[in-house]
Amino acid sequence: MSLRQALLRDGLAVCSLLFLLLVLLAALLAPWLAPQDPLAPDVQNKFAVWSAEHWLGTDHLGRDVFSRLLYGARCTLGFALLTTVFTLLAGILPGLLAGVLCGRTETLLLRLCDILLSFPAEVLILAVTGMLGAGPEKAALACLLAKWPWYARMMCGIARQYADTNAVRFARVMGHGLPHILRRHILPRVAGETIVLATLHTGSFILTLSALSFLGLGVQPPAPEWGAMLGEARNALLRAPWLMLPPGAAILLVVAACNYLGDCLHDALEGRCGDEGKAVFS
Amino acid sequence: MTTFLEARGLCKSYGRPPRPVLRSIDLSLPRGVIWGLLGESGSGKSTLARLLLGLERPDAGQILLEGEPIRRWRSRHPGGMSVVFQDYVTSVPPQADVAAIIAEGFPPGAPRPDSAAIHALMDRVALPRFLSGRLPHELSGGQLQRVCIARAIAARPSLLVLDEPVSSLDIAVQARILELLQDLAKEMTCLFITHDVQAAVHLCEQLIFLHQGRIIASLPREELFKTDNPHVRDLLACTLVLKDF
Repeated sequence: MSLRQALLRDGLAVCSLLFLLLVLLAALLAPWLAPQDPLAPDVQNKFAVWSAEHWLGTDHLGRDVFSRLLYGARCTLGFALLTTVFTLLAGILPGLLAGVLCGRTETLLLRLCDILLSFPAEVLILAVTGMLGAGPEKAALACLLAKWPWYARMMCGIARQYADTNAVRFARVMGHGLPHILRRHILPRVAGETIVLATLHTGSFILTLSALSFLGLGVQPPAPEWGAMLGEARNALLRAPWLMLPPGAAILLVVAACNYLGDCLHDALEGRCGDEGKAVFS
Repeated sequence: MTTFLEARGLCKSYGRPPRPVLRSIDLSLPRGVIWGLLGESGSGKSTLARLLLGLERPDAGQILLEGEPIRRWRSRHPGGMSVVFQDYVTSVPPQADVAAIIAEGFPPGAPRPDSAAIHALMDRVALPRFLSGRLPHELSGGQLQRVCIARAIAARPSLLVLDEPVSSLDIAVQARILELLQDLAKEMTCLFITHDVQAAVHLCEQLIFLHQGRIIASLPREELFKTDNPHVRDLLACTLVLKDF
């Protein structure tokens, strides 16, 4: 059974995928879909409840919550996806090289990863953000610095497992170089695992970046971002508790969809790869 | 006959404390001869093959191919040496089809082989052409090992190492693969590693016997049953002979 067939057999996985695609599409089309300007205040209309004009009401400055939610998706998902891509690149390349080359390169990388991983990720992210200052790009950089060793270590182990096969030994005997071995033997085999890890970690990065924005270390006002919207709603918790719902539910649903899709990809891959898949994820 | 491969004083140990697997191996293989490397399991046959292929470095000693160290010789002769492993399942990338697997056997840097070249190789190892688009898990063990052999001879290597290529195949397939190898190996220096004396005698002109990491005998096939080496005689005595019950 192919990966696509396995995915299509799981109704919830298909729903998760469709939901994520829908959210991404909504984020991309936000300027055309948003009924109001997300930054335009209307203090006479603050804390308005849901209506035909303001589908999800207005916040403490009278800004349209639905429009801010749409624009916020751009920031939240955009930074989460960029962080995932750059963290993957920063972790996978050295990890794969170390796994294939072995010897001193592997030892050096693994010890460096051990040192960085000995710090709790959240503490490291807060410390780096504290040093660099507030801002979404700095929060994303902090996430990258905290998470790349994890990917590098994981990829090093996977690459080592595949580099130690007769197929790679044959390529070495023939005189094929490292680029050929990576392209033909290692990358096609780690691609599946990488997609699963990326899907799972996108959800994790959404949560971390939202948490940093919630604490005032990520996206700065008045820019819309789901974590920042949640932080602003906290200040008006007693006056308008419903303001917590749209950004909170958006984060919850997107992260849950990412995690479920990642789990499903993992199960499908494990079923497809048999023992190899199990070895990677156990 | 000119020497093609020469090994001097090869030693290799594994583990801590070091457990010697090969002890002072001296070897000289002339060009164009099929050599058999025999010994019981654990005698160091596969370790010696890995050293000769440049997959591992010896702790001591030197390997020269046409008078050059392996790495330099390989950079001057890409695709000049090749190998067929016992475990055919891990010998091929699982996501590649038969044509792509065989194409990897062409020398690095050479133009991408066309389908005619792939089909010619498949014909040589008696693989039906319609299998060229199949994935490894869609082939039988015998077919997959033939794919590995086709890949190994694609570059017309000067040195071909066959590391127990028939050990994990059923007996009928073994016989067909041995016939095929006998035909193909005439064109190159070939090292056939096995613990199967009958297969080695069938295929090889010269036989080298390894015991506990040392070469204990090196003799032509015709003199095999005349030797008085006790380890060789033990190995010959273990060979099953079919009787008429």
